[in-house]
Amino acid sequence: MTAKTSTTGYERPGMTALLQVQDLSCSLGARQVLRGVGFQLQRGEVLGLIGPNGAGKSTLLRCLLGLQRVSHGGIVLNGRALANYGRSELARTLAYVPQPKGAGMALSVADVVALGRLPHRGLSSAAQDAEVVLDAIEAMALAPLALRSVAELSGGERQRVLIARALAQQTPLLLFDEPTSDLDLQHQLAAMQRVRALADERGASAVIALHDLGLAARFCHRLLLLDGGRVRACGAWPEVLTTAHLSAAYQVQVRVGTDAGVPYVIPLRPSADPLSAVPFARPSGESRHAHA
Amino acid sequence: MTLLHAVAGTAAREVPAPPPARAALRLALLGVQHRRGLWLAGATGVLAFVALLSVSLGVGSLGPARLLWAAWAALTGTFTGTPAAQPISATEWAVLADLRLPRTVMAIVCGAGLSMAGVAMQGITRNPLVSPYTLGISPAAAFGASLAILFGWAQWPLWGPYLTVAAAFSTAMLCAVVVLGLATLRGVNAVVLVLAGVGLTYLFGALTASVQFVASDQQLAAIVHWTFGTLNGRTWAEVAVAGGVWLLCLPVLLAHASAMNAFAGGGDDVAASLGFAVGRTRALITLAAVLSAAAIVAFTGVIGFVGLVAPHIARLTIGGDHRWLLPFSAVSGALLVLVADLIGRLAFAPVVVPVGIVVAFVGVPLFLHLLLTRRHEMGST
Repeated sequence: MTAKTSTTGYERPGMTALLQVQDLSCSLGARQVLRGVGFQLQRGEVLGLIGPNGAGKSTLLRCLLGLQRVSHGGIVLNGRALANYGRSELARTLAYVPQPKGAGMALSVADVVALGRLPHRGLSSAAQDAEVVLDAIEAMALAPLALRSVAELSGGERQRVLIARALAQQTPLLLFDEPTSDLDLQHQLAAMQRVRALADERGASAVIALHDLGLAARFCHRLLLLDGGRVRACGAWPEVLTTAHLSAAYQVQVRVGTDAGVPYVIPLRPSADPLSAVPFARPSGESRHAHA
Repeated sequence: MTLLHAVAGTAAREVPAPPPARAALRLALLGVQHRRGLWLAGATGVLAFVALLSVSLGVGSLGPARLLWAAWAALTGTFTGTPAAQPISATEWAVLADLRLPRTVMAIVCGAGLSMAGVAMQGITRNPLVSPYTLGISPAAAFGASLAILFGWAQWPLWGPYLTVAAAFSTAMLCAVVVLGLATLRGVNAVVLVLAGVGLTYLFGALTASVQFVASDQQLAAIVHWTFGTLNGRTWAEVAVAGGVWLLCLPVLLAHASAMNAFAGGGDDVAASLGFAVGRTRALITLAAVLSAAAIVAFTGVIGFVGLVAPHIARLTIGGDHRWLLPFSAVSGALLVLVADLIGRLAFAPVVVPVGIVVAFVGVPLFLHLLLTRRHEMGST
């Protein structure tokens, strides 16, 4: 797949965004995790959520899911406030792939993928559901494992099962938390290509938290760089993956480039930025962001 | 042939089978459903047969044929309870109606109820160590019963036996309320729940031990005998109470089979993202599970082991889909208790070995066998 990531002005005028996040703040206990985050997601757009550990990526996803209480700001989905959605209606609009944790109880791969059809109970026939489940199983190349217990699988195989379950949910918006963390190179490509194809061909949208910046640049229309709970940069990858942004956010010097059209990011050495000497000495984060 | 298989084929000597085509996969998935249905139907048939054996065998056996004849006569109203041309004598009828039938029904309710409670609790906590026993409910019931025995409530005329049961039920529910409160707290995961259960088990164990310490020899014997877990002397009234509570909880558990799948297969966040109200659903399932378990162990004593092992035996046999697992675990749990009781009654007749002891002897070898032969399906973490 060639990188189509140079589409800068992706926002199509005249269309309301699928997802609008305005000035979102959120606290976990006494710690403020998100501070005034705002962005829009268009239909058919894949947004890559990047940033260092603890930047607030997972918390942002949980806010979008309605699992996390928001202390300030609003989330508007399809023109309606997220809080006004009923549970099953939301489950037919949003699918979520969490970071894999443990095998859980021994359900078969097909059983787990079929969970994605639960929000559609009573709205689609059993035969229809079975076909959608088969589609999702095949999309993630899980057919040879379909009858096996999830508990027997490797971490990467389990992650593909989680993705297939979300695909079976057939939602216009998909939220992924590090979907490629346990995947080998082949399945990283396959998973990202699948998501991108859903967006390009069927108009689905996705928000994907990723640590692999090269993968994010290659498959996401836009990137959103979170740092200390704030948006440091948002836009097409050449605007976001600059040495200035990355060394400020990650405190490492990087080389960013493309090879045969495929973007890559190589971490070189700890940043020479004077602030990197005191990476935790940012009481409110105000001073850093002011000069950034 | 996908790239994965091409690569695997060159690396490993045995080439994995190519991925089955869609039609084959569809067929295989249907086959799984059919196998599950067959297992459930087969186990139910075996349970019916063992129940018939349980009613007919004992001191003074009634042949199954005569028994069925008697049942037919009773159903059609031609049986009057008088001898002569009747299939069974009045004494035999009394043994049947007042001893063996309630005992058999109680064994079924006990096995099915504890097993389903275990499946439900294990499913929503995603933890294979959870059961009514490991959450402290059975030890709590034992403490209540031992209190009743110590203070002589059990000896009171007329109400005595019921006071023991009431005391056992009260302490079991007290423990259940603590567990329920913990389960509904946000951020309490399965590990916290299991550890709290271990703590409660030891607490109630220590309380029972303190009662035993001050009890007289006669009381001590009664307490120890209660904790063995027994189906001796079950009356229809007791069966009605325990069975009634179970029948109330049964539809609640069955209706939440899909929710249990979501919890077991994906965890709390995935269940929420699939549209389930996590806190409320978990509280309701836990309530139904601990209520039925408390109502059962209050009458039968500590047969809590069934609630831990029968779910695993069922899961290893039929798979983790709770829509099949719940009914199948009920049948297999009932079968386990019924067979154990039958062996306990017949092996050293006329001495009856308490069912709580025999269940371990019957269930553990089967459990270990399944565990060791199919350990990979249990998973690592």
